[in-house]
Amino acid sequence: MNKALKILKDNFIYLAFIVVGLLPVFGLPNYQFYIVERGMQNALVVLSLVILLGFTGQLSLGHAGLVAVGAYFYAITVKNYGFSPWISLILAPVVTGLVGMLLAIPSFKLRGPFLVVNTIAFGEIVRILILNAVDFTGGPFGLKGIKPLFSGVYLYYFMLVVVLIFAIVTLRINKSHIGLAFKAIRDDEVAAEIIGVDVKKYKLLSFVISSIFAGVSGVFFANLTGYLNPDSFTFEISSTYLLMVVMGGMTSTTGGFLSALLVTALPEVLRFLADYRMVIYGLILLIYIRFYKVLDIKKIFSKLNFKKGSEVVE
Amino acid sequence: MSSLLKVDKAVKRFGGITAVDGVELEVKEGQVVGLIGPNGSGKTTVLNVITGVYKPEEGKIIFNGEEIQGMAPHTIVEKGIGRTFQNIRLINSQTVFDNVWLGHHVNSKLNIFDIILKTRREKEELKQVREEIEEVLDFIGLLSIKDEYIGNIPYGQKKILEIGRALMAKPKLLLLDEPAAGLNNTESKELVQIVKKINQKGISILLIEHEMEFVQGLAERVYVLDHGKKIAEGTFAECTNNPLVIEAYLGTGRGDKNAEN
Amino acid sequence: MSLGTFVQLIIQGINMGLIYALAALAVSLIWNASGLFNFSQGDLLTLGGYFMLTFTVVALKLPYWVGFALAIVVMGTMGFFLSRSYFYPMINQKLNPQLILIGTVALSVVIRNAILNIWGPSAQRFDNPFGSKPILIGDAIIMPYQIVNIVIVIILVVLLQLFLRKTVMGIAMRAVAQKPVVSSLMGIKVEQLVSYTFLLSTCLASIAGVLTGPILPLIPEMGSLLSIKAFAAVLIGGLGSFSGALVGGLIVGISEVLFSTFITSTYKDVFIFLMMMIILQIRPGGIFRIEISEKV
Repeated sequence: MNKALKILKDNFIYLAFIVVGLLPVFGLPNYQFYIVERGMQNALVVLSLVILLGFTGQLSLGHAGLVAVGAYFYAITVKNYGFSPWISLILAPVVTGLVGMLLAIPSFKLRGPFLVVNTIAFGEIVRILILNAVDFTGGPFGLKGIKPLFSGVYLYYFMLVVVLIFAIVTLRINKSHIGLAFKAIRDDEVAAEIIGVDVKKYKLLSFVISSIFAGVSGVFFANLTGYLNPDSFTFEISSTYLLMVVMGGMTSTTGGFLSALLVTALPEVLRFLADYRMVIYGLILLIYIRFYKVLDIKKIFSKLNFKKGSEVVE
Repeated sequence: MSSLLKVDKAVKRFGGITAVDGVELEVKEGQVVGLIGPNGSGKTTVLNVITGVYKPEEGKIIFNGEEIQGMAPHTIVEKGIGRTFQNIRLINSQTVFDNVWLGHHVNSKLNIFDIILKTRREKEELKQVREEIEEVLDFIGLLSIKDEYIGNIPYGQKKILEIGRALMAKPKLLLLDEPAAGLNNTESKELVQIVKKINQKGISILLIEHEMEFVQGLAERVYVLDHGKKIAEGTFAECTNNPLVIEAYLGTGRGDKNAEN
Repeated sequence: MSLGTFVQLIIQGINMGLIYALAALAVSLIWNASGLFNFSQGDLLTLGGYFMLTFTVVALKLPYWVGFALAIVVMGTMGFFLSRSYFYPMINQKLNPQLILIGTVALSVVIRNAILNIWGPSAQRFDNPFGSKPILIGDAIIMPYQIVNIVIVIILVVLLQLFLRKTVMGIAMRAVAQKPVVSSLMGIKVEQLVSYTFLLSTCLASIAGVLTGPILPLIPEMGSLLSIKAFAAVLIGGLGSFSGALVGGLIVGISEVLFSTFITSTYKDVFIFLMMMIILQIRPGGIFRIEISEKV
């Protein structure tokens, strides 16, 4: 019995993916696709933060800016320059990764609130630049008429597969020596450096990987909404991503995926709460954090330990 | 025996305080060298200068014929110097196994693509590293607890674990910062054996220690610091009979508590 | 450009700058007393403004100064209880500081969205009794509220300085994060101290919120917009430094206006953020502070 439970725990994430994969088959109406797809798109950003924040301990409130880079790059190259959407799909995360370097480098020296404010500034700068480059981006009027790679249920499964791939990548990083280096940096940066971890290199790597994930999320966003506007990439949106990753347990790939789906999709299910959902999520998070140590949430999470090594931050 | 490490008139200042004042010391290949002195004499600062945590204002650190002062700490580990910490610095959220694994980092040939794609290279290196980790854990006597989380193991084992971690980087020189501090008699004796075994493998050791018996049993040569300056060098017996050394330890009445190292 | 118009711009800059400075001060006070960086400061500021709106326009129609005082009292009490029931217990439990920081972000989300739910998304305004007749000094057109704002803040700063330097509670407040033993030596419980600091901080934020009344329209997002600039101000001036908060706020407020007028208004925020990012790199402690490095 115990062995069966353990197998279930270790592979819960695949189960989750199967469930999501079966939803259209079991009668998820077409108009609900969008909400689950948005959940999957958000899941990519949450995974990016699991790596950057959960593993490496770098708190970013500027990730909406990275998603914007991916989204706008894709949209502009496809719509205005006639790139093949498949090429843009590959290029957008690469470009976002490069932009992510611009976020990473000033972050090497910074910790705690200094780091966070720096990332906020980054996110804002990106948003303002997009807002004002009207010729390229349509500025405040936005960019319309982006044709998706696929439509209907094909887009749904395409996204599912992509998110699954990225989730597997996250799991692999978690168990690897690179993941270990990330966590050493998170827990004791100075000691990590002294025992041989090239902290700068690994911080840069973490930011770049995180940015690539965010870039793909941006491409998905463009595909899903068909319309881009700088208001979708604000500091508040970045706070929402943070909310999702913390609710998912910060270091857990499975938790992050589920949290993104639930937080995004729940208001549809509980329609009457829709207007108040941000206050509710915020309150849930406040309570979660407040009673984190009291309830020894760490112990609860390690009992529900989804995969060996997905420990919760002390 | 050729010179492995040379601290050449190193000076390190913090604001108005000169923590290390023109210290000269040498570790020859294969030697065990002790560095002793009362609390606050600058021993750990010397260690920090050697390992790149601080850049000395003056002087040189020469390792294996190369000047390493000012290099980044992780580079110095690559060059072949490993160390432990006076106040244990292990990664508390991980297991014993993982902490030792971390020490291997400088020797890993894998990159991010190996990890993502689970290449054969990754499989092979992991297999090899796993064997090495278990060997090291066995060597220091901690194999049985390899899957324990750091929070659950006793202080004495943590101190020894740090040595295991440092060994993974295959250092030529091992710097031990008060490895016996807080250990009981049995643990101390075990530690002496471990340090001897390490030295027998050809690894040179620079040992900062407060416990005189510990140094006496291990170090062929001893340097004594006081107030950041070297006040004596020689064999253990020579140093402990040196009136300057006795004065430094007893005269000012500085004991084991308060002051920084 | 005439001297008068230039002076007018500077006064504008000082007005906003002092508001940023008050918010920055609030952040620094809490930082000094508890080691916490309060990301919800800007939203608390906004909440102060909305309470003022309710007291003087929407629900109660009280006179300006009465509404002002009431808003401060309500907000201060809120800050006190936030500390008592929420923040101090977590600090006491020695919860991971990053997690507490995230808590303040969650708080900002709650406040911002609660404002949206309660007061609605459209821009609102409350009036001030200082009149809308501009004062003309040479070329410069100055509004009465601008003078009043400056005077209020000057008085506030002087009172604060007296409090922080001459009273036991104030001295303890400045030192307690670095040396917690100081406050207990002075006979003040750390918990009380932190709660009073939150109270003071939230009062400052609400004052700033009311002072923005004539300058900015009241919208739920005002909190985030102001927050970021206030954070820039506090980091530029030096986190934890009183003078740093003032100077930082003024730098941000004045450069905002000058950049906007003489170069371009579209990228004025980018300029300020870049300035902050550069200062963080070369002098992470800000103008008035040097960061303490870690002991190995």
